[in-house]
Amino acid sequence: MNTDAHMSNLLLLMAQRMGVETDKFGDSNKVIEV
Amino acid sequence: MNYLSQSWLIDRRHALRALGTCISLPALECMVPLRAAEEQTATPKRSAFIYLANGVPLPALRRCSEIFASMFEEPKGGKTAQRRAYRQEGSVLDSNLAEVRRLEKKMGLADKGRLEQYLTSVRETEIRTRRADAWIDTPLPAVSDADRNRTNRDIATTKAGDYFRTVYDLMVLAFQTDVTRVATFSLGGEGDAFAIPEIGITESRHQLSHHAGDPVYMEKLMMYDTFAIEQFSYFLTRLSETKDLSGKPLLGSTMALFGSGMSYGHSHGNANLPLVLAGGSDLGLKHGSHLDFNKAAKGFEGYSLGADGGRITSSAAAP
Repeated sequence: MNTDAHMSNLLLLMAQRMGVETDKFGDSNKVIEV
Repeated sequence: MNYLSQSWLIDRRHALRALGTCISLPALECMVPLRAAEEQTATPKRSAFIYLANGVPLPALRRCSEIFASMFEEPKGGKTAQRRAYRQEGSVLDSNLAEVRRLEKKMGLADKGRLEQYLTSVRETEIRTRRADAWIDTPLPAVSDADRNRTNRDIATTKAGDYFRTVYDLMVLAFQTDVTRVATFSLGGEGDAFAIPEIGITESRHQLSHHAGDPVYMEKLMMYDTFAIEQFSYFLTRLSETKDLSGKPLLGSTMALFGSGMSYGHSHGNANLPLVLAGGSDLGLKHGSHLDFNKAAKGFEGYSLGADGGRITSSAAAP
């Protein structure tokens, strides 16, 4: 299991794309690049 | 810009908190179709889907006519009565807060922590009340007769597909008219997912997911999920066919997330979640790819299909 693959990383990406100025979201440890 | 989250969000508390910082429009939450036919009670049913930051669940909308009315019809009793109700609620909150502050001075540290959680809830309720008050004067968008006839109706739970597609139509209509920019839709809660008799499935998805390796149940589970993803496909198609207020397809400005909080229901496996993220190309998202995060896991050796429906072959794989 990839312990760095947090779902919150995906939610962080979505939040950023909708204009939320944050680099943290729940237990995120990076933003997913899509 | 729209943001659509259709999943059993793992981090739903954080999601709502973050969204609350940038969304001033009401969030549309549609929940649990089975409840659509239930009698209305004095105590509204609570959603298991969206929570405030402190864990307080928000009420859900279930019936299509109820969802339609919440967005496109004047409040029952008129705007004046609605505003009076909101302001009365605000007044009660103010009185309550003053009393709580007096009590706070007599509390220990542990109780003050709990009190802070309560006050967070009160503050968020105040914000929602103020927004709802301001929203009353926002002119209702025009809805065509065709859209009204298609969406402003209640649908028997035995017609799951019709129900799903109608809720999706309502969500498209909401984004199209900019009534809301956030919507969540659960195709069924963990304990009360419904059957789909129109394709011959009389069991709930929950029941099917605990298949114990039974090939008939596994086949039905695949049919169930295929049906669900087909309805999601309908939603994406509708978004691509519908123009937003600037004349561009809604799909480009809408991020749609479909998935589940479990990847393997039989053992309640909640790692390796299967998720679909669609839309949002106007927001810079690039699609047409499959991201497999297992490949970056330590000890990953590929996949093999076993009696349990499939596992990762890895010296470090989680059960």
